[in-house]
Amino acid sequence: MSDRSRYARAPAVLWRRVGNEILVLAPEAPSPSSLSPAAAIVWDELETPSRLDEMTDSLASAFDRDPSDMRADLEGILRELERSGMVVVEESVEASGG
Amino acid sequence: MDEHVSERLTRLVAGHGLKRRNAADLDGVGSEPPGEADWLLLRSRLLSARLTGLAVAASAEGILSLTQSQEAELLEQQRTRMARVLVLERTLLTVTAELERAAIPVLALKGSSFAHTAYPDPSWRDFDDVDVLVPTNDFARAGRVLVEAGCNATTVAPRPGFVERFGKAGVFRKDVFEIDLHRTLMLGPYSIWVDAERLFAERSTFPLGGRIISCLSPEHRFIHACMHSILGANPPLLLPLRDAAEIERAGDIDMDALARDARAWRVESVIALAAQEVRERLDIEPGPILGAFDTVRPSRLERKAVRAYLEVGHSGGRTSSSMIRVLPGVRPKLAYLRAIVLPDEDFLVRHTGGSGSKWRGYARRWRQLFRTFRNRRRGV
Repeated sequence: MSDRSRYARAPAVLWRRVGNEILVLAPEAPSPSSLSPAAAIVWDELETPSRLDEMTDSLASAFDRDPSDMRADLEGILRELERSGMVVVEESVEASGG
Repeated sequence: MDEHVSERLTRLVAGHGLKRRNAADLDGVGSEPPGEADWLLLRSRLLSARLTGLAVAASAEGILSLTQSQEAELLEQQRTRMARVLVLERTLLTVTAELERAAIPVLALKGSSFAHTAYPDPSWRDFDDVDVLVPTNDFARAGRVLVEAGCNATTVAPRPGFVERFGKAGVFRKDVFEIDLHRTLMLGPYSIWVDAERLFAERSTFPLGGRIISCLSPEHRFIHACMHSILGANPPLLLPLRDAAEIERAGDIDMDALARDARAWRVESVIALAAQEVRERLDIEPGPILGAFDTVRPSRLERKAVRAYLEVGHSGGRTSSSMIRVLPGVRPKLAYLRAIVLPDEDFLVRHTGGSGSKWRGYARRWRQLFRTFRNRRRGV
């Protein structure tokens, strides 16, 4: 996963918040399903498209966790969200941190 | 069980998040979890008024106290509702795509368009069907497009072409979902007074599912919400009243454009009534836009038309007589009257029961019309 990649919610996904839960319906999904609690947190973080390092810093600070542990967890969640069509990756043309 | 407790709690939820007037009958309401019997009644009221999303928000902010198990039940109810709403939004995407492919202009009405343009959180706005508006000239073709896309038409018009000339909408079903194909916003006189061409000319948009969906302009959404709340049911339903308040709160309304169309379409008194109901039923202080219509003096014709919609248990018969009054010209009046008095057999079977001969069906139809007319003259 590149630090220059920007992650965003897939625009075609329909969703609603139910309490702390996120209910999603991807275009090809037969019916709506709930994101896991961890994925729901990442979904909230993706209110604006973000890079992996930005999300790592923000969530590690919010949950008082070691950034490298947080990054590993985040990579797993993002990979799963991307695989299920919930998240899209935009390759950024800007230099990281620029 | 106290019906008043659940009724007051429902009103508290319906006005949640807006500027309260603090009516005495809502003092202290919601500060303690309801008892089991009151909860069962409240849960049912919230569901039928489609206010579960607002109740979840009110509970999360401590405005509506619930026990842990009541909260869990409410969340489960909201999960079920929102799962349905998401599938309805997918249906809206399919329907609008099919109509646009056939080069038919289409605007989303109410439900999804209100949820995404007016409410701070779309999960506060529940809905139960898909409503779309197409131009009258395209109405029949739009119906055929929906049928070709796998929808079933479920309504029968009194005569061919009746809906295009005098009606409001045709109803279709796709799977278990209802799609209302509108050619105008309301049945009766307002189907003539509201300029549907202007609805299309001043359209707005919102993003949904990666597409841009067309909908009414903010001013027309506001007028539609007021009409739906006041003319759609008596007493007015809470959710359409909330829609009117939310559309005003969203802050996109151009007051000059609203005043122009409200006057031209004779809906000033409807907006004034909506302001009054927002105040009384939601316990909300109407915003300056709703409040601006408080002092309107409607014409006699407008008052009579609105009264026909407001009569307790109003039916098509009562708005029909207003419709005859406002239809321009003798030929349209006769065509309308003929369709109402001598409808096709399919319509008779659907509306007066299937037994007996055609003439027995007509006799039942005429008795219904006579009763409606007599009750109207007696002011029942």
